[in-house]
Amino acid sequence: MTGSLIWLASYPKSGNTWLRLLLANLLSDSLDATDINQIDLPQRCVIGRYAFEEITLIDSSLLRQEEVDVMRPAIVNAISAETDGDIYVKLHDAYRMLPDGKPLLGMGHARAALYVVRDPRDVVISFAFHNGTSIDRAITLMNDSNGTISRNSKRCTPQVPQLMHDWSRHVEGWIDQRDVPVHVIRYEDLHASPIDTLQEAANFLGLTIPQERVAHAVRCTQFSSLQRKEQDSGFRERIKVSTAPFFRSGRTGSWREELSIAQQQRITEAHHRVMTRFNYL
Amino acid sequence: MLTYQISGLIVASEIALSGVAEPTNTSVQPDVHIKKVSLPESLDQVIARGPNWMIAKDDFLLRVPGVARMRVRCGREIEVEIEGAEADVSPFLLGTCFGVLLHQRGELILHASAVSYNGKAIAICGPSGMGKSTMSAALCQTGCSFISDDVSTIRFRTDGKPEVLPDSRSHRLWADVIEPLALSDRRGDAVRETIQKYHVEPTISISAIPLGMILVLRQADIHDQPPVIEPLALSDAAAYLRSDVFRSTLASHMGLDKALFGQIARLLPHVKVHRLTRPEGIDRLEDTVNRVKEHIFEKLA
Repeated sequence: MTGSLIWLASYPKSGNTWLRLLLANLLSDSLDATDINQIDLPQRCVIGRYAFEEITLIDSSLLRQEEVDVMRPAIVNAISAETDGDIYVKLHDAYRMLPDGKPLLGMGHARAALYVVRDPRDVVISFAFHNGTSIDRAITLMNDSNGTISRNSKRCTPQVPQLMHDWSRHVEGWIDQRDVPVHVIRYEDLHASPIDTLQEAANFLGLTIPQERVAHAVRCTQFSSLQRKEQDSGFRERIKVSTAPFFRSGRTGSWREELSIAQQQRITEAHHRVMTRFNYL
Repeated sequence: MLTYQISGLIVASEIALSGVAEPTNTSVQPDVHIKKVSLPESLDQVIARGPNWMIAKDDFLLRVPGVARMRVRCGREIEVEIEGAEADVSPFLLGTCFGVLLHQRGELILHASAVSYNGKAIAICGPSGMGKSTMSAALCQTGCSFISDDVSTIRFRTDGKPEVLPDSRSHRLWADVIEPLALSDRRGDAVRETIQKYHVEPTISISAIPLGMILVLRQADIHDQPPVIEPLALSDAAAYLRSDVFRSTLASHMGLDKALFGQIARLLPHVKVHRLTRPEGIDRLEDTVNRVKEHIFEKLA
């Protein structure tokens, strides 16, 4: 069985939202850019507490993380069963197996995955602003084999906890899994050659899109335009603790100015092999 | 056998229910029995099912993996087969299972916390995580009295006016909220071990209170916006209340749409329904509570 879900996976702050905006503008019939606060893309969320409770009838805030995890395949199954056509699903979860040896995201629900990878030295700066933490703390999370987001046990988070592992394991877990065909997009390529990079992703998904439409999607999502829209009307995916706009810099290589030598070393020592694999070293 | 009082019902239970008041008069016959049994894997003549639950007529089976399987029958019985620690079962029994039991009894139950002011009840309804408990706890710190947390049972008096039944379950609040609200001295046990949500001793109302206002609570999409309270047109109010019925979709599966529509239609002429859009975050709570207080004091004076 092959499902109709398409995983849009990445470590946080690696370009996932940008990719969703590109896809929305690519698939839209409109000449206007999609609203950043109502992204016009057939998409579903599989990590929201509301959906979890609707499907399982259990208040997920009463569950421990391992109890939530056990039910995650059933959530994906339920969402997959009630959808038709391509449905895009944003994910920051690690691609991983549950204690019973089955994938957290179930089997047979997704027909493809796009994985966005970005230089972890740039990711960490953006991640620190996003979470309202220091860069050193963001590096600690990125180097933590049990790194998890939405795990605040003192209050109810809108999403269930998502184990990501460390950055290298996140990247390789997704790229080397064999359950779902995966296409890797380097953030830096999307930045340098957006039209070609997006066209390749569309081709991988089997979408037939005229080149002019691809160019249009890229124009609609120019970083300065996203920044302006966020400034005008806010952005619903920016979390409360963030200390900068969600669309903050959008640059590549700013780590050279913003990270200390020691911080750069902490990242490169932990992730040398995978960074080399993606030409970051 | 332990005895409790929940939403006006006397409950005899073989399992300890944390944070629930005991009845004042223990000689009354129980309305509901909670028993430990061995349960079947499946029900006969299933009407609807989900990944971990199924419904038949007047019958409901739920599994919380690793915790328990629970069966709710005819609005009178909850049977439990424990899979893990017995102490873990209570919040699930009191949440989904008791909600289903009240549905089976034909009660109108809202996913709402309720407080009273000036002899009138204010129900604050909304999905999980919207801040219903936090909002009601904050209001209780400023002169309101606690009626119910998370689930509010509404019943019609003989003159047709709606009232909220006292719930007798304690307020439950997250650790992040307890301290800013200066409730640390009233903090009781954790709802479950390792989860930092606690029972908090409230000032409990012991009698049914006429329902004066419903606030439909929603969170603002964008941060840094001020709290907004706006009246809802009847059709919008009806739609919001239907969606904020406790376990709303399940109630549809149970065939309750028509009955709920009738109950909500009976409710609306008697109650002001407003939508409260609140900004996220405990740091904005005071601002929101002040706005709600002004509103309540003005409308229910």
